[in-house]
Amino acid sequence: MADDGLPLLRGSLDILVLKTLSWGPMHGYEITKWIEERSGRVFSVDDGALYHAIHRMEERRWISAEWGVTENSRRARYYKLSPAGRAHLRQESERWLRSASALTDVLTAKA
Amino acid sequence: MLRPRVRRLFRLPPRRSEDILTELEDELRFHLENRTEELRAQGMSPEDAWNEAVRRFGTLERARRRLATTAQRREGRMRLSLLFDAFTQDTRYVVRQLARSPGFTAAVTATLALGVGANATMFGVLDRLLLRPPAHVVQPERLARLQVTHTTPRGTSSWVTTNFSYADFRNLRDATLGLPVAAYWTTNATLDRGSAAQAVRTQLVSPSFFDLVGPKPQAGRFFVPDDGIEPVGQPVAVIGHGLWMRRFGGARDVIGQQLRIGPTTFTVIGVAPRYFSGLGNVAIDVWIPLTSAAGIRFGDGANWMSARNTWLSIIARVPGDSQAIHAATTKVAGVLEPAISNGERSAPTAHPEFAPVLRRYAARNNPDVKVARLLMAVSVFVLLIACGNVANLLLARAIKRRQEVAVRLALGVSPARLATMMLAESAMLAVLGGLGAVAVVHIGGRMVRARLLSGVTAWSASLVDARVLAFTCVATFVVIVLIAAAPLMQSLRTSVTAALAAGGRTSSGRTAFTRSSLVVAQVTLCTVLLVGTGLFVRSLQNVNDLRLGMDTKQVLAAQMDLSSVGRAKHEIAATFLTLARRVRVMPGVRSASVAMALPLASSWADRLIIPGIPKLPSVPDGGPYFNLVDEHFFSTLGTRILRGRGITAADVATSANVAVVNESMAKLFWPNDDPIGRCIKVGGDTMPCATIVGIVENARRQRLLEGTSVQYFLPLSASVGSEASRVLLIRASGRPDALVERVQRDLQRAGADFPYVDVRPMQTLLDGDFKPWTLGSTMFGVFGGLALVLASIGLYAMLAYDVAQRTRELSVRMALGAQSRDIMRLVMRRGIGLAASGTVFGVLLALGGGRWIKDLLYDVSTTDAAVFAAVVATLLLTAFIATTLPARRATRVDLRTAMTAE
Repeated sequence: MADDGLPLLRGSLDILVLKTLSWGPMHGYEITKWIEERSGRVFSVDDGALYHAIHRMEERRWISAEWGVTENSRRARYYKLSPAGRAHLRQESERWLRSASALTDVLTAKA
Repeated sequence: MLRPRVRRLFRLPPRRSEDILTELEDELRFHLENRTEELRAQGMSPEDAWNEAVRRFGTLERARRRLATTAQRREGRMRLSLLFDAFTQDTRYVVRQLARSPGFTAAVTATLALGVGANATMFGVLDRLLLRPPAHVVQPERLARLQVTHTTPRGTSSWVTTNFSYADFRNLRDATLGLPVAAYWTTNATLDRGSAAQAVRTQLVSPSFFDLVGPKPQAGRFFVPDDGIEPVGQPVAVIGHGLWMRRFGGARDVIGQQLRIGPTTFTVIGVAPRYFSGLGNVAIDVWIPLTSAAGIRFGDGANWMSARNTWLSIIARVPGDSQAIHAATTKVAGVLEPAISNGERSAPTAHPEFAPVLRRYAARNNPDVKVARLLMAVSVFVLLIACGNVANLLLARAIKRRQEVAVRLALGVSPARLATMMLAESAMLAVLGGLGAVAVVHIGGRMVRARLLSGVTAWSASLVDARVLAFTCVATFVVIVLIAAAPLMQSLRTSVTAALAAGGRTSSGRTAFTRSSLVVAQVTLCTVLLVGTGLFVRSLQNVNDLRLGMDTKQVLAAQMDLSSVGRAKHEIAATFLTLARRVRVMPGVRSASVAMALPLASSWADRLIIPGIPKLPSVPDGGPYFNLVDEHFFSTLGTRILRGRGITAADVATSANVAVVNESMAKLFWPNDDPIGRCIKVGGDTMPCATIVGIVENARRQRLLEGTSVQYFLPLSASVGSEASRVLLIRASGRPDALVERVQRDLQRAGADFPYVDVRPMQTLLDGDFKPWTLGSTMFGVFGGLALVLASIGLYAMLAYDVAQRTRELSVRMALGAQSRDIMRLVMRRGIGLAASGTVFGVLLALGGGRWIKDLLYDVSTTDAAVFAAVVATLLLTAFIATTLPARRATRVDLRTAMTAE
């Protein structure tokens, strides 16, 4: 079912993760599910790419990581948005929305 | 959507890479398990669900590897920034702590700076003098100097010659020795004439010299074989860096410029590299070919080539292979043999060898090496004393902070963290101390150069360079690490409850013992150093008081090479007589004399026939040597006439055939008869008889300490020796130093074409011989003084600290009726007691260790009572002074403040 999901646009994974985390700390699997559900299953997330993105953003101090415990008392690594990450999210969302709307305008222009 | 989670209380400790990888695995597995569960919930079988989950993950293996790398890199970067934060925080903390106790910081820094600085200075000096090869010399360990050891047939005495004639050099050069040879001679020559005349340090070299030694010219070129073709070669010169700067301002067009040195005008063809000074320590101004020696030495003509004049040093580059060296040495013996064994005296056996130029490889019992080793030991002593001080200070501080440490430990700070903090503090002290040491080296080096080694001018300005700096850093850190360890251990082993209860005031018995023994050790070392100082000072005194047979302290020598400006021989003699008359009427001059050879500087010998003694006994030290003198000679020099008379004006005027012999000659040739009235023939059997008219006391020929020297004196107008060689000896009525400049200026102006007139006190000719004792007493004195200062500071600090610790006890005593006198006595007894035990140990150590410096002393026993007594007295007096202040302070303790302070 998820096979015919659309691949993510280049560079959009970062912003999706950041937006996801703005709802609160989550672990890696939760982030995947959240993105899939919120996008109405339009996007399918390549898990390997996800963890890469997470590590990259962790290096850049946009997100921070902690080991925590789930409801089922299992150990999981939770990610949290940092203030720097939040600022970056704000900036990048604006940019994306602007370029997306411009793109939409061009594509829907009546000939 | 908050989740409960575990919070970290403390900083994240650095994690190992296995942990990082394990965590990554856990995370990935967790993800896959979740996915599997989701798929199972949708109805797949467990296996299919898992496989699907893995497939969804996409290229799991590669992802895993890449994630591992990024995880580790991320971890590394985070760790670095954490460490950096920790470092800055620690540094700030340490600086604050040290600033809070400025006295302690200053004391430790100063002590380290002095101790390590003194050592580094010593190291720098010794490095330059002994260890470091001469600048710009290629492979100096392969260079060797030729020397010949002569032994009399019966083996009764032996001596070493290092000077050879040009004929010897030529023969060696042309023989196929299998190794390259070169020859050189260093002297002072005159640049320009008249009032502009100045002395330049000149080295005459064979054309092979620069090739053999190996430097590269800064400008122009060095000599080629043609430059040294006999008989006169080419008038070309290579100048040194110093002369290039001083005279030509470092201009590039110096090549082709002219220099008038001696009788010849030379053309500059090249500039030697900076700091190159041949194989010696003294800067050379100009190099010229050996073939230009005529006029600078031995007069003009071909005398300089004669086999009879030995003046050259010969060096060679020897291979490492000992067989080759042996073969070469045998060949050298063959070449030199005919030259050595001519003459009347029974030929001593000659044994040539190549002695390494580098002192490091020189024989173990070389006196320079011995002095160097001794000085290094001395500076290490001072360093140990300094270490003792720093250790004591650190220990005291550690004890004071026991309470603070205990509180921290109780609050849960890890011991490792505390240890890191204390090490950081020690490291900061080490850095401050190291910087101070560098400053000390810079200043100290300058002082040492100016005072002790002013003849050595081939150094760069400051003693501080890469090697010395490295030495300083290593020494400082070693010192700090070693002595910071003990207080550190002490602190961390502190029992928390005991420390809190004690309130940080009392010190445990063991630390008190450690600190006391440190002070005692310091005083011991100090004692030994002061004893060394005393012994060297007495040696110097003894050497100074030696009777030399001449009064070098009051006499000036004026020399001038008139043959180098073209004056004929008889003119030279007459000029000097005129100058003598001129000088005699100068104020401050008691008498003046003209002689052929300058005593202590050069010696002349000729064949001697004594009718009645067909075979002369062999003379130790070569000889007999003679000098041509005028009627004022003996009185100017202060040599006593023992029997008969000296040379008179009439003898000189009439060229009478008379001679005066010295005591040794009288005893050697006429042991049972009276030499007065006897006949000697100088120069050969056909020469007329010179009748002996007097005997004078023995005077030194060349060295301060030498065996008996056989000498005789003929009138100035005698027909042997050289007519062109003359020297003017001047006896000052007051201080000779004041006279030098006046005489120099006056004589320089006396002739428009005069070369440089060299006027110097005769004492300076012996300076080199005095050096071991001058150097020894100065260095020991400086280090001994330093040791004394450091040890007394150590004693003072310890007592002051003690008093501070015992305020309660002392105030109780005073309340119970003790007088201030009693309190003072209490404190001082402790202080003087420590000093006394240190002194006793030191004296024992000095008595036992005396044998190591025994052969460096002169005429002083290593158990000299006066020296030991003086040292003990000095130490006790210093201890007394050092203890009065803390003792005085102890009496001013206030009872109320003492009791309530906590």
